[in-house]
Amino acid sequence: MDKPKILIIDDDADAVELIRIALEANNYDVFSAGNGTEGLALVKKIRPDLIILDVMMDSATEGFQVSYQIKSNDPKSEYRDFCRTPIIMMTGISQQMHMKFSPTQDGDYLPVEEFLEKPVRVDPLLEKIRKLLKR
Amino acid sequence: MDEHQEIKALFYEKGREEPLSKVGWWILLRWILLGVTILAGLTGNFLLNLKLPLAHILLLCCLTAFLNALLHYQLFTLKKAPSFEFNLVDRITYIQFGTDLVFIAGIFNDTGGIASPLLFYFLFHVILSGVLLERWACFLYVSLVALMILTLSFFEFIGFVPHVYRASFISKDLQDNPFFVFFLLFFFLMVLFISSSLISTLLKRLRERISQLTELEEKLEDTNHRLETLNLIAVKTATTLGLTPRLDLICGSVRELMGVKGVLIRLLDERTNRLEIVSSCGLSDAYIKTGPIDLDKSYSRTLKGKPHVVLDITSEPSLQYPEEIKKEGIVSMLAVPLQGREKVIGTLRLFTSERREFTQEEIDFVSALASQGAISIENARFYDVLKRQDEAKNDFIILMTHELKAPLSAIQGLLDVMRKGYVGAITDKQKELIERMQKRIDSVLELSAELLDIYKWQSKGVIDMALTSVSLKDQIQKAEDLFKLIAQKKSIKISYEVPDEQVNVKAGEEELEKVLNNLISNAIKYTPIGGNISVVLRLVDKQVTLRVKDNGIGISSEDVPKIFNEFFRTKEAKVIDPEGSGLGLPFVKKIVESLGGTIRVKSEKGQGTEFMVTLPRI
Repeated sequence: MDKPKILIIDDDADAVELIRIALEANNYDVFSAGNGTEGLALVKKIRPDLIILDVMMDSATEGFQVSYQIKSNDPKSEYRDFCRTPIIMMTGISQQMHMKFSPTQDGDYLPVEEFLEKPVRVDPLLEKIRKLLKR
Repeated sequence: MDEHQEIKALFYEKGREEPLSKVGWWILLRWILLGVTILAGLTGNFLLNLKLPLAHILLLCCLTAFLNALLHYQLFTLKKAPSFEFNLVDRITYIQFGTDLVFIAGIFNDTGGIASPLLFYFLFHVILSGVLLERWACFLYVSLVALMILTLSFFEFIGFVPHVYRASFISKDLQDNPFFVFFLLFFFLMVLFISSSLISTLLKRLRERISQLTELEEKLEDTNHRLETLNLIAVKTATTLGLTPRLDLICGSVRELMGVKGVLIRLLDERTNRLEIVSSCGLSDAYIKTGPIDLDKSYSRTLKGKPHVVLDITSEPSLQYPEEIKKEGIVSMLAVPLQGREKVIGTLRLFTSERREFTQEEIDFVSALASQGAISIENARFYDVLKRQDEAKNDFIILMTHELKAPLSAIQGLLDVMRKGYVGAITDKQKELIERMQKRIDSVLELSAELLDIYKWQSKGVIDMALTSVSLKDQIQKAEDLFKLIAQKKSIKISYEVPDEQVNVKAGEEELEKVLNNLISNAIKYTPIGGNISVVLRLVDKQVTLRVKDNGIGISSEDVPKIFNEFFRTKEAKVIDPEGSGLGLPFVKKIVESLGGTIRVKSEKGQGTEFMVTLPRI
C-alpha cells in the first residue's frame, strides 16, 4: 500500500520543515505549499489523504478561505472530490476570532476535522493524523 | 426718577412694612405726646398752679387726637390692603406735618410764645422732618415754622394776638424787651435751620452709603453667582471627558448666565486656517450651517487675544456673514478669545437680539470663562491624543507579540523534531539541553500569550468572550484530569467537592477554563510537596461560589492587596517560579469581573491561600 499523502499549506518554511521531518520519519509522503492558491492547485494535482493548513498566510484568514473552498457543499465545486479529505488546522488565531472547528459548515464554525494550537508539537500532531487516517 | 425717589424705592423694596411702620411709630409717638401734653397741662395747673389756658390746650389736643385717630385708621386699612401707593404714604406724611405744625403753633401760643418751654417741640419736629421729608420739603417746613414763630411773635408783640399765657421762667420785663425777643428768635431759628440742614445732609450721605452698599451687595451677589457657575463649569468639564459635551456645557452656561440670545464656539483649524463652528446654543440651524470663517479672507481681532464688542452688527465691516447675522435677528455681539496655554485656539461669541453694551466686568467674566473653557478643551484634546496613542501602543504590542510567537513556535517545533531523533541520533546530554531550550521557549510563549490577553483586554476595555452556558462541573472535571499527574508528582492531594445538581454560568468557555486552571496551577505551584488543596463549588442563592484553598506558602498581608496588579509578584513567588509573568491573576480578575462576578483572596503567610470566586448562576 502507498504511503499516505499529506499536504502542508503554510508560509512558514521552518514550520513546514519540522512537520516534514517528523512525518517523513513516520512514513508519510509529504508535500507542501507556501500559500493558499498554490495549496489549492496541489490539492487537485496530488490528491492528498490529509491536509495540514495554517490560517495566517498572505492574509490573516487565508487558511479559512482555503478550508471553505475545499469543503464546499456546492455540487459544482472544483474541489468536490476532496470535501471529505480531513483537514487539520493549526494556528493561535482561533482564540482571537472565537471560531470553533466543526465538520459542518455553518455560521461561526470552521469546516475542519481537527484543530492544533501553535506551537505545533510532534506527538499530538502524529496522534491526530493517525486518528483521522484510520477512518 | 430722581435720586430721592430712587433711594426711597430702594428702601421700599425691602417690603411695604418699612414705610408703614415709620408712619405707624409717628402716629404712636403723637399719641404719647398728646398724653404727655394733657398730663403736663393738668399737672401744671392743678399741682404747680401755673394757670395755663387748659380749655384751649385740651381742645387742641382733642382735635389732634381726632385727626390722629383718622390717620391711625388709615394706617390700619393700608396695612390690610393687598397693595398701596407710595404717593399715599407721602400724602399721609405731609398731612401729619401740617397737623403737627398747627398743633405745635397752638401749644406754642398757649404756653407763652417765645418764652414757652415747649420750644424744643419744634426742634424735635424739625429733626423728624429732616429724616422723613425730602431735602427741599424739609427746608420748606423749617421755613414755615420760622415764619409762623416770627409772625406769632410779631403779632403778640404788637398786641394783634393776645398773650395767652405769660408765666415763664423768663421774667416779664425780659419777655417784653424787643432785643431779647429778637436775639432769642434769631438764635432759635438759627438752631432750627442748622439742625435741619445737618440732619438732611447727614441723611443724604447715609442714604447714599446705603444705596452704594446695596449696589455693592448686588454686585457681590452677581459675582458670587458667576464664580459659582465658573466653579460648576470647572467641575463639570473636569468630569466630562469628551470634547463635544464640554463645549456644549460651556455654551449653555454662558448663555444662561449672561442672558443673551445665543452663544457660539468656533475652534481654529490650523491646517485650513479656518474657524469652524464646534458648538452653539440659541442659534438657528440655518445660521449654524453658514460655514467656517476663513481667516485668509477676514481678519479676526479676537484671535489676537483681545475681546471685541460690536454694538451694532450692521455697522461692522469685518464680518464674513453679515446677511446671515442680520437674518438671525442679532444686534450686538461680544467676541472673546479662547486663550489656551500657549495660543488662542478659537473664539467664543455672545449674540444679543437687542442693542447691548457689555460692561467691563461682564467682558472680564466671559473672558475668564473662555480661558477656563479653552484649557478644558485643550485637556480634552490631549486626552483624545493620548487615548489614540495608547491604542496605537497596544496594537503595536499585540502585533509584536504575535510576530514573536511565530518564530518561537517554529524553533520549538524544530527542537521537538531534533529531540525525537528524526534528524539523526542525539546524545543524552544533547537531549537534555534541547529540553532546557524548549522549557525556556515555553515560558516566553506563555508570557506572550498572557501579554496578548492583557493588551487585547486593555485596547477594548472589556474582555471579549463568546458567552455560552458553561457547566462548571464539567470544567472542574477537566481540570481534575489535567492536574492529576502534576499533583501526583508533587504528592499533593487535591480534593474536589461539587454539588449534585448541574451548575451552569454564562461565560466564555476558554476564559472560564483559564480562571480555573490559573487558580489550581497557582495552588499547586505554591504549595510544598505533600500539601493539600481543596476545590469547592457551592450554590448560594442565584450565585455560584468556587473556592480554591491550599496550605502553601501564603501571601504576606502587605502583598495581599497587590496580587491583582499587573506584573506584581511576591518575593516568595519569584523564588519558586522565576519565570512567572505576574499577569495571570490580573487577567483572572478581569475575566471574573467581566462576567459580573467577584474574586476575593484570604491568605496568611506560611499558612496558605484561599481564592473565592463568585459568579451569577443561570
